[in-house]
Amino acid sequence: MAPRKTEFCSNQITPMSRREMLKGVSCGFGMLAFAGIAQSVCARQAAPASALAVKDPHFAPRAKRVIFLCMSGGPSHLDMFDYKPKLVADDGKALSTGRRRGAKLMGSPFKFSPRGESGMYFSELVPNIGSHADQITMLKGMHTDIPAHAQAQIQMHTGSFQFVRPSMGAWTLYGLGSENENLPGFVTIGPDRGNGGAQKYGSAFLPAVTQGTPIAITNSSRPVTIENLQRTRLSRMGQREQIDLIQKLNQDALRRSGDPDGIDGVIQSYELAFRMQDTLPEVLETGNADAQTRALYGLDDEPTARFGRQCLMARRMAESGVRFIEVTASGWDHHRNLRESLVNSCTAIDKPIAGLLTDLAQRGMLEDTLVLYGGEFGRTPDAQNGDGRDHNAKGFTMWMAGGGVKGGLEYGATDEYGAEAVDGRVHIHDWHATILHLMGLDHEQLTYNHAGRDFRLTDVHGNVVRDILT
Amino acid sequence: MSIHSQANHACTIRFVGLSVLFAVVLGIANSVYGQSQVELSSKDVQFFESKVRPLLIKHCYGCHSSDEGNRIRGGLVLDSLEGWKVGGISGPAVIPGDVEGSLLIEAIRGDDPDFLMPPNKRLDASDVAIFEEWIRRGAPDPRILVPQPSGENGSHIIPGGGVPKEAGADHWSFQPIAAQSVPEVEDDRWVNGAIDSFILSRLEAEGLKPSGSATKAALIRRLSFDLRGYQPTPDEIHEFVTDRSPEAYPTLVDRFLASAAYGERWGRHWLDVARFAESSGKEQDVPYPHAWRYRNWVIDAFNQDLPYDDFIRMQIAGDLLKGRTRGEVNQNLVATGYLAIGPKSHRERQRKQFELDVADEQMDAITQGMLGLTVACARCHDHKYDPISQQDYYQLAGVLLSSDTLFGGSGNIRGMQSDLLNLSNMDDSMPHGIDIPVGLYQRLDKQRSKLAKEIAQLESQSEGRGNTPGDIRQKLRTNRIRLAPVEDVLARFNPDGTPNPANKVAMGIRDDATPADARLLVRGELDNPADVVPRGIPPIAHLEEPILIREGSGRREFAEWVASVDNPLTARVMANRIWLHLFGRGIVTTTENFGLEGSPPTHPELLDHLSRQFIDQEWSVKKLIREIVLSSAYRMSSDDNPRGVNADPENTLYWRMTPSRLEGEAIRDAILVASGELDSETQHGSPVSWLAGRTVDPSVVDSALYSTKRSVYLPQMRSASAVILQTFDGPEPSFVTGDRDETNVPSQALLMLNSEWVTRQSDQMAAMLLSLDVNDRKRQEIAFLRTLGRKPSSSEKIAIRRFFTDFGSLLSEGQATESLQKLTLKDRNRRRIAQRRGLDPMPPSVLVHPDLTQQERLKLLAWSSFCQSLFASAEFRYLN
Repeated sequence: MAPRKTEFCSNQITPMSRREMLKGVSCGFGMLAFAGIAQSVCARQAAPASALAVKDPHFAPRAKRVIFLCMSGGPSHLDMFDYKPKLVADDGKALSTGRRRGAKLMGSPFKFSPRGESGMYFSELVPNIGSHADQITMLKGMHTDIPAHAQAQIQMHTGSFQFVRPSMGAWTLYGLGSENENLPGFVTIGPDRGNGGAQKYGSAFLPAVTQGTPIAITNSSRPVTIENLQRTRLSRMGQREQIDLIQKLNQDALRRSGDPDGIDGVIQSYELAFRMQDTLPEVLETGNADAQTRALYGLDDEPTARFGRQCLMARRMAESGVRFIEVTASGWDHHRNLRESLVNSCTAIDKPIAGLLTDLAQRGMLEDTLVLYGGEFGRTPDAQNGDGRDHNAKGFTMWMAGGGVKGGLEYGATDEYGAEAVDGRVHIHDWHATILHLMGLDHEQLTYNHAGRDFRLTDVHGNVVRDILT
Repeated sequence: MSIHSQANHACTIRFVGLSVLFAVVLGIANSVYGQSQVELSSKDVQFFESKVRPLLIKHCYGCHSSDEGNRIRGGLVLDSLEGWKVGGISGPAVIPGDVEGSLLIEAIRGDDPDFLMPPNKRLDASDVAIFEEWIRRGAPDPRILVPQPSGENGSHIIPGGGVPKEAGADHWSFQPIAAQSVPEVEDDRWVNGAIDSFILSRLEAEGLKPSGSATKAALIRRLSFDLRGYQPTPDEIHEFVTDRSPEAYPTLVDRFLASAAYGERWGRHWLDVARFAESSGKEQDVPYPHAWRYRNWVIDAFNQDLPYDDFIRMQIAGDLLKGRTRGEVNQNLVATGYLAIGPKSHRERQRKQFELDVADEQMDAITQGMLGLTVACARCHDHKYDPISQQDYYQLAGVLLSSDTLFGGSGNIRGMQSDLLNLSNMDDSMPHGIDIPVGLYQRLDKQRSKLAKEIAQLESQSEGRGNTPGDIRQKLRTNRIRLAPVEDVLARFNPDGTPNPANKVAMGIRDDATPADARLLVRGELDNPADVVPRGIPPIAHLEEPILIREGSGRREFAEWVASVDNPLTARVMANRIWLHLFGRGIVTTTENFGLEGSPPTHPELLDHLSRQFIDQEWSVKKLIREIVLSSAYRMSSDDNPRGVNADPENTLYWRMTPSRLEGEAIRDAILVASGELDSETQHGSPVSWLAGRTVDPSVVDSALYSTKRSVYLPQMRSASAVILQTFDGPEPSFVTGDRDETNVPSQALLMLNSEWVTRQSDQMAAMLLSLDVNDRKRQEIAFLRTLGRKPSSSEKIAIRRFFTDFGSLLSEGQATESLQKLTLKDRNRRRIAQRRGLDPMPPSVLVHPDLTQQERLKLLAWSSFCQSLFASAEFRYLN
């Protein structure tokens, strides 16, 4: 296991009070349970029975974990990453062909400039992300099938917009297992309720334990939590007493039962649940971050506080061995009033994302953490409602940074107006194939038999985009 | 990957066969349809397929495709050869070989602006040239109707890369269910019926012995959970354990089978298979306020032991069956809710695509659930493993597409909607829903007035069509979208909260006024239509000669075919499901796949014996269950022994009973039984019927979770259902689920430790125990009996004593006071929120009852925590 996960691991078992320790020793059950767990946590890593046991990848992975920065609503590639001088030059002209004939082109009202040694262009809306230009591979020829939010979101997460399929986080967890049994292996921080809902982190037919654990985020600064994570009425010590009684009953049942594995699973689940109540809130509690961290993620500035908090949680989870972490920022559906609202959306994420990249790099984690940025589609070069843009599934930008991807690389391109991907086209299926590849998984080999056939994240599609790999 | 190379291989074989078949097919086609078309060269076919068909699809099918029925313009259809030959009101569209004389060319050249096709859009010159070239070549058009297979070969000619039709001819599940001779066994003292002989003969062959009998206490617990879905009461246990007559067990079996709880238990098993839920799922979870009628019909059907073949007939074609009474007719209609409750994309914009998806989902549910086949795999291509071609799929799709699925969805004005089945002639004895909380009705009523007022104001501001400012138009639209669902709910209830006659409707299906055959869609894509396929029952799985449908949808015939005693799959699939629920594992472990890729039966003769019995006993589910639970095999202990574990660790030979983890429903119901809180009355209705809105109001679902009804009656939206049921591996209601997962994950432990529902039930149980006029020892004993069905062991007694001492000392340290205050506050808050939302606030926990002294409260808290520990124990959720 990675040594760097110790920051939280070390906290998991030690904070037992003296009283608890004594009690454990005196009655034997608590200690017995603990000893059993401590041993089995290590011993069970390779046990085939557990769907979350760590499994060998198909080949050497370039990244051990994923942080997916999901921009829900369809951010405008044309105003952030895909610089189109011709569009600016032709601003106001009407389109002469195609379905949108007659619509007026809208050049980006925002300034673009080359950044880093690579000279990749970034708009003034994302200055901080731009300072990481040399760590980023821009995928400028992205395309997907359906220009409707829910379908495109579901396809981006599961590969299929038509059927209920496992999400990519669930596939990753199914393929590689979890490295921290004190935390869920797949967490989604602040998923929006609509736009595909729980399917975006669902496990569909994969084992239920591979599904994502949603962590709801509110705008308030109150600590966030998950279902039943908080002790409602007992103190920690009181609950320990209660768990000791439960475990005593369980130990007896274990001796009598014909299903020792099942009972053992229950015993473990209580110890883990007990520890999760201590571990997870700590990961989720961002109020205690030091001044430097707060500044890095913009925790104290109103516009960046929310997403900054999410990004900090993501970094901590990555550090604790969570395999797949998704972080959602919603509200990117800028059909109107783009000049003002897109600025707000970008402000909210620019500093936190840059902070996350900096933080990961400083901790030496960027090299084996795959950071993904993207929304379900992009937007049209022509104007809507005067000052907005419509959905565009035919061409948009996503980017990757960290484990196994080149820095300062622009891959693919849209046409001169940014309407359609024309070069280096990467479909969502290809994107999935590439992500799995970086995690050491062959998207054609990662299959699950259900309802009479083998299913894949990429169905019958997908090509690894090899040109972007280091 | 092996699968791919296999598929490619199959493709190649297919392709070689194709050219041979092609000539044959054309021959047949010509003779059948009397067309004088000469055989097409492969070049011609390629030209048409690569150049002409795409243009036709792109530019012409929109208005000139027979798929669209009433939308055909000018009477001309261009999606078949016959179409352009006959032509529309202006005459034949194409004259082969005569470019200048063909109307189609005249239209697309657009020399006459009034006759330009497609309207307002001039085709590129290169496209026009393609059409000219095509006509010059003699308009070769391979789009002929594919006839039914004939002769001995029986192969289909739609290329799809699937398996040859002959494949699986000798596959076990496609063979008739033969009567089985009961095998001889060496030691027949154990044998109590044919089932035991089948089990024992295999065990003896492997040198194994069956385990001893379970204790009577273990047996009654097992039987009670298996047949009723919750534990026996201490009195029931006592009575059974002390009754030494040989009739004690059979009597118990009959009593449990006759209880209403049986239908609630076994109905739930079927609801898993029927992918039951009360909303649409997918991207917009539209509530289905009447889905509960189907749920209750299923429960009743099991309680009345409706023969399984009728059970199937009614679900697929109840609307087409005759009923002797009005009640029967209504029941038949409600049963077809099965076809309407599946997941749907109400936001799909193309009605045709929507209908295809619905039919696909129905086919998937029926074939997996009732036949153990995955026919839906053949939507886009021939089935990769089973002898099911894409043509078979579209034959069956034609049947389902010739029916109108009635799913409702009114109040959802932005998405797909439909009628519902009218039950207005329903007699008054038939309940039509539960009351809406009056507060909620009033809140909605206020909303309606407010929205209506706003709409009226906005309308007065708008200056007629076209002149209304954009923001006002937008506001109007938003308000109307908001108003519709509110009105929908209010229309179904009276101000006093009682449901009114508008609630006398049901989800279901009815035959389309104009049943029609469907077109095969290449790769399953709507804009890639191929030939029309006659609707009917395809010859899948070698079952029998195909049945073509000439009148009506064909659903009646389909239902009869599924429910036929000659269908070798139907009885086997259900007998296997019943076995699974009693033994913890199916004889076929892939309960939804009896095809070539499914797992083979571990005991094929036993499965056939059960299936035969099932049919011979007039498809009585209760009789089959009775036979199984009376066997010695079912009554074995679940204890392991080294010999068995070594020889057969998975217990595939049934040398013991396999222990299993209870489902979420059973765990929740058992908690309610133990706490004494269970309300065992049937619930005729659902809180989902109060939901106003296109999406879920979580507070309605949440508050319903405080219901003390059995779990099967809890609201089950696809996006929201009881957390306790989800957490304990509840089925994903978008899939047919025969066999649930059994996980043990920390979220279950967290739920048992911290969930308000569990602590609340613990409080109730503790209060009940403390109200008994007995000493603490006795109370603990009663608590054990009510939860685990046994008394505590001596070592457990020591642990319990220590718990009460240590826990008590912690409480007196004063921490508890704080947590009690928190609890009181939380309880009050929740009640206030409920009130604000117009929901009936649930009564406060006994723990915060104002009459309690602090000392009493602390005592109650300790006992509550003790009861909660019993609920939380592994033994409580495991069945031995």
